[in-house]
Amino acid sequence: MVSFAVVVRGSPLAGQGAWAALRFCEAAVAAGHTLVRVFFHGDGVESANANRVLPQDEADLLPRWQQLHASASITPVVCVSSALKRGILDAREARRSGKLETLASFMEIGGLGQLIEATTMADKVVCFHDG
Amino acid sequence: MTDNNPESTARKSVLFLFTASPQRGTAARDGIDTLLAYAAFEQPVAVLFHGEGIWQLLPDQQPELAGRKSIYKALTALPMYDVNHIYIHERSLRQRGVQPRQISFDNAHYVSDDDMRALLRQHSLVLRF
Repeated sequence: MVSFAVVVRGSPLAGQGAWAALRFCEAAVAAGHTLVRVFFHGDGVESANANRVLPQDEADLLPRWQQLHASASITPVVCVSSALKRGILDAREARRSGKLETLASFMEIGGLGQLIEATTMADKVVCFHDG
Repeated sequence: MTDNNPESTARKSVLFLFTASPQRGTAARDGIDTLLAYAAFEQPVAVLFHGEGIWQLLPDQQPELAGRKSIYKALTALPMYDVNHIYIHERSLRQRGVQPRQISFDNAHYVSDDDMRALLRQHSLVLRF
């Protein structure tokens, strides 16, 4: 069994990175591996926006992340500086800036220290990009 | 310096592979911020500029004209964070008509394709931006 740290840098509306990351995590958990951390960074944080409204015939990855959170106790971490500049705010940041909370409720905002900690601990680090 | 042993979890050597042009999205900025964070946490780091990433190295850019912040200024801070392993892929420069003299990173090493392969092998972790 392998422990993985997964870094998601791809936007859900750009390339395949965001979806490939989700499917990788689902497959890793199904195969009995451990996810030390899922870290959304750069355009990847767009996956954490709970306010996205998709047409009915387009798949949404947020419910699948939530399922993974429920079944495997994975709380994805969203990079704070990437998130704030893209309008992804948790309750605290929303209060502080007087804007709306948009972060998916089962995710949390964190710093690069959490990425460093995860890549230090994990056996393998896998990054998902768009290009 | 090299550490390929997954059992040794305390310090992994990290190679930052910078491949994004400075004005494309936030990758270049994200890369430098992440590199400086690893350096601040005293992780052994090195940085390799490759492909479009070499545009980050040119001085005299005016990113503020495009409403953006300078990447170059952040790069010049690397020695202050004890980031001393700076590599530039030579062929990437030549392909883009950039001369080494246009780049003012005194402590940078110019590397060949073979050197690059060796760097990718030597580090326990590669983070590409």
